[in-house]
Amino acid sequence: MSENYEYFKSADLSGYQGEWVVICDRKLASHGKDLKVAFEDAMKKHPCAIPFVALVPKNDETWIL
Amino acid sequence: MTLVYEFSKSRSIDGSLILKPTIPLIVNSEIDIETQALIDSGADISAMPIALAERLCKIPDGAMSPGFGIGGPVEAIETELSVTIGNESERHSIKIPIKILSTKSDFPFLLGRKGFFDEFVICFNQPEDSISLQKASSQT
Repeated sequence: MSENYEYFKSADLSGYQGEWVVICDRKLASHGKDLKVAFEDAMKKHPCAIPFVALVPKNDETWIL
Repeated sequence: MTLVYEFSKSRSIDGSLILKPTIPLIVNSEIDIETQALIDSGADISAMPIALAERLCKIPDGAMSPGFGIGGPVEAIETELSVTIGNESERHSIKIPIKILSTKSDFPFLLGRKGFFDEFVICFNQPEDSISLQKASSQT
């Protein structure tokens, strides 16, 4: 498991529910509803070799796929 | 060898625990980007929203074609992705077909059966909180 994924699974990201997060070097580099904006912001502020991006699920959201 | 992951955990609004079978994977494109993928054994093929595809890969030219999901009809275009699954001691790079869905709804990378279930024997062990992946050709 990568360090960024480990961070994503262990960090308290409840304040970012429904948003995309970008994690670089075990740090939350950026977040937002618009992934394009969040990703570009993260790469400016905290570029890293393999950034991690993921959607933080909402607590009141049940995924039926 | 077997790759083992824990389920992702979150709380529903009533406080009950929700477990999701997710794994990390790296999409190998112009730059490598890692994301969390939800293993969706009910999906014929992998899928991701166009917002995520715009970051992870080059979207192919061509017209979107009709597809169908649990939410109803959706426009989609198919492409192929190179992805890497594993850890420092065991890594597997595979190519998977994937539908890019033209939707404003956000959802995570969904790993469907085509191209992925062909390559791995996958065991969901929710009572013991583990998802195991064994490369199909490495079974004894």
